[in-house]
Amino acid sequence: MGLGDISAGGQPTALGHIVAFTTVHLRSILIAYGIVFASFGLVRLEHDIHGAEAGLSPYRLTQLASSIDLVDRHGPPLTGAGQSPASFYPIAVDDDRGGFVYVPLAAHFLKTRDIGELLKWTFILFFVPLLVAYPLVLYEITRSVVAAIAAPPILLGHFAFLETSGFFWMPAWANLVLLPILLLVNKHWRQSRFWLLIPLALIASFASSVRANAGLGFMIGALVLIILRVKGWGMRLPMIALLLLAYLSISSFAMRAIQLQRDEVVGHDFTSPYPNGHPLWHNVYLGLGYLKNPYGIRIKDPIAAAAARREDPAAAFPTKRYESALRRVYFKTLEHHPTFVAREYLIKAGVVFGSAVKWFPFVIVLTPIFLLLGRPRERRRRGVELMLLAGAGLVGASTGVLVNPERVAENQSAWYSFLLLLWLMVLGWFARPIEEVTFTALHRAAKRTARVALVVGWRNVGRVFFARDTTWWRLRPNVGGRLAWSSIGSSRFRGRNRFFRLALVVLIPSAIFLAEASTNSSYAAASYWNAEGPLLAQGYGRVIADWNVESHLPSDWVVSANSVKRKQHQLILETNSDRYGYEINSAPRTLRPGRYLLEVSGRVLKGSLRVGVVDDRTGTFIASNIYWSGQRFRGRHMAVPFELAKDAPVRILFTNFKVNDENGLWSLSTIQLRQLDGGCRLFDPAASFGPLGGGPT
Amino acid sequence: MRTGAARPVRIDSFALAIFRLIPLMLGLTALLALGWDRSPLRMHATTAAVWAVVAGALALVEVRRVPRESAWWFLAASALAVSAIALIASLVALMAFIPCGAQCV
Repeated sequence: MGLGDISAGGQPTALGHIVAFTTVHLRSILIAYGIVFASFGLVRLEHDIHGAEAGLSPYRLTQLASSIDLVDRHGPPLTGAGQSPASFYPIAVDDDRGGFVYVPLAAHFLKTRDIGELLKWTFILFFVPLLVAYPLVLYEITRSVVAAIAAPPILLGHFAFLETSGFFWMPAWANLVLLPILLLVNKHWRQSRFWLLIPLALIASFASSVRANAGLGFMIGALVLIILRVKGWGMRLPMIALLLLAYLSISSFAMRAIQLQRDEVVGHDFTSPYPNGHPLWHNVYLGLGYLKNPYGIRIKDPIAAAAARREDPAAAFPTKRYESALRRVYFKTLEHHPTFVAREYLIKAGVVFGSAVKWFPFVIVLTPIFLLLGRPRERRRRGVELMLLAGAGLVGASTGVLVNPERVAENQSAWYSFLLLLWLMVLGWFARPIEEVTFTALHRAAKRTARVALVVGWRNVGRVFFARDTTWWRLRPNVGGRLAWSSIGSSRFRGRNRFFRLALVVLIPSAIFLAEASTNSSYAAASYWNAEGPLLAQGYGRVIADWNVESHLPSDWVVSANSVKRKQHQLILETNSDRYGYEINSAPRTLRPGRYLLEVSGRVLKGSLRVGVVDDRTGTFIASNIYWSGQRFRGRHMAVPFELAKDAPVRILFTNFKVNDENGLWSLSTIQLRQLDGGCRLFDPAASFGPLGGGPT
Repeated sequence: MRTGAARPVRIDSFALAIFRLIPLMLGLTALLALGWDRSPLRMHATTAAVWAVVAGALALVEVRRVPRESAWWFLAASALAVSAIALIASLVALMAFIPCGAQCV
């Protein structure tokens, strides 16, 4: 039975039926696929997420717990209570308020105090629906079945970066929810579709109330869409104003209303002295201390507090006055050391783009190809889509460049999600033309074999492909040769500036890969520099144990390093390749209650090390410090002070602290354990600052 | 016009414009008075929600009444959107005080 017979009412095979059914009901099948995959995702996330609160600092967790306490006692939101009933204090004055409103509220309604479980289920609740919707949404945007099918596993695979970040995944969620809808609105644009953007801006506002600027990427995209699609500023301006109002509604107006009403309840103005969100200049100033510098700036809150106090002695963290003082300090630094600031931002930009290379190398290579090559109409369409997404990329990248490009969700959530979305789009851009050519070739082959002129699309492919006597091997020569070119939209490489565009296709990824390679060592140095421990010039306290390791380590210590050699009165140790691998683990020793100091003579020749004291019963660090090769040891010792409240068996542990691929190299000579007397003060005690202690990062 | 003929009642176009702006102004006032730090007027979340509902109702009437092609329709729809935005913002603020109960609102 031939194809002609099918058109005349003949019967296709069972497989043909299945494929035809699939193509006719593609959308329903994609939704069903999304639901099935989301069920799997739900089980996976429920099983795998442990410690969802890990991304939140102890300071933030304490604040959340205080607010949960008070809300449970029918107190106002964003407030903690001291010992006496009247001693209220504000919560999250130095942070985005949303999370501190919603989490205690959810805890109250769900009658739980387990912040980890709450955050875990919030993550699941927010992200699992994405797995349901993405196959259909991505198909609608790109018209690629391959991209639609690939989207849920790709998404689920990348959730690992976000799932234990507290609520710092919010920018990623906002991007992953809002931007595809924005692309759909763009694709099916009519002026009346503008009204759909208002609820989306409200969702963006909700996201920004939890994490600063989480929804800003969408907002920039929406403004670009209006400028591109709406004619005349007479209409554009009111639309933009409406969107801005919606965007400010929850993140700014509602949050401020909650604080003002809270003030009326507690009878104290806790609102007006503080900015209505995350302190900006605190973070921007600290961002200048990413790399080792002679100005004493580093990404530690007390450094910014000290700088603000020098500028304005009455500037208390995190008041508006404090922010104003740090703004002045920042611009003075910019004015007096412009090359330092420029170099800092340049290197951080390299690190940010380097992250893109590490996470999504194919995006870096393929995006310029799809934007610069292919049919002009296709290029324009992809260009517009990228313009709508670019706001999210800009917001994500600028967070890393201005503040801290460290590859953690707290800083990189927006950038990561932008790249993830771009990766899915690139997959669609790549797969769609191949799918198109495949079906066109099927169509032509069907016509050439003089069977029947079927309109080959998704709906008829099953009938053509799987009819009983279709000799589909005849189709192969028509398909294979065109796939490579078709994937970039054209088999003809023509048009103006084509060689210039071709050069850009090569140059842009090369520049980004080069930036990654050249800033790799800077990224490692910055990570070490910001974590480095103090060095002590003189011995403190009474020596209670002394190990001379110049020739060898004690026989009862466990050594897991790659190699240990003796060289010129020093022990040279090359670390193993595990990122946080154990290198030296001492025998346990029980210590009595008191204050102690672990002092290590030696230096880090390459890479870094972490030295600490571990509770032998639990295996957890009691205290530890990190040292690296960029520190000036010059006769000073590595030191780890610690305190025990009761008798405890402890071990001394040296571990790797690898940021890049290089193994560490250390030299060690003596290790001493000293007992400190009561009044001994080792380091600058300015560990806390401001009225509340702690602070944001 | 013949003497004695009934004259149609016409609202002056300026007055009509002002009348049509009322829902937008009400919605905007509710939103700004709720949480804009420089607002001279201050509303509690409950008050803002009530005014947002009033503004929304007026805007809805206007949206249904005015022809869709008209520029007034855009104004009425904007008023409806602003009222909805104000209502949602005030509901978020109200929601935060639910555990606190009557003593906080």
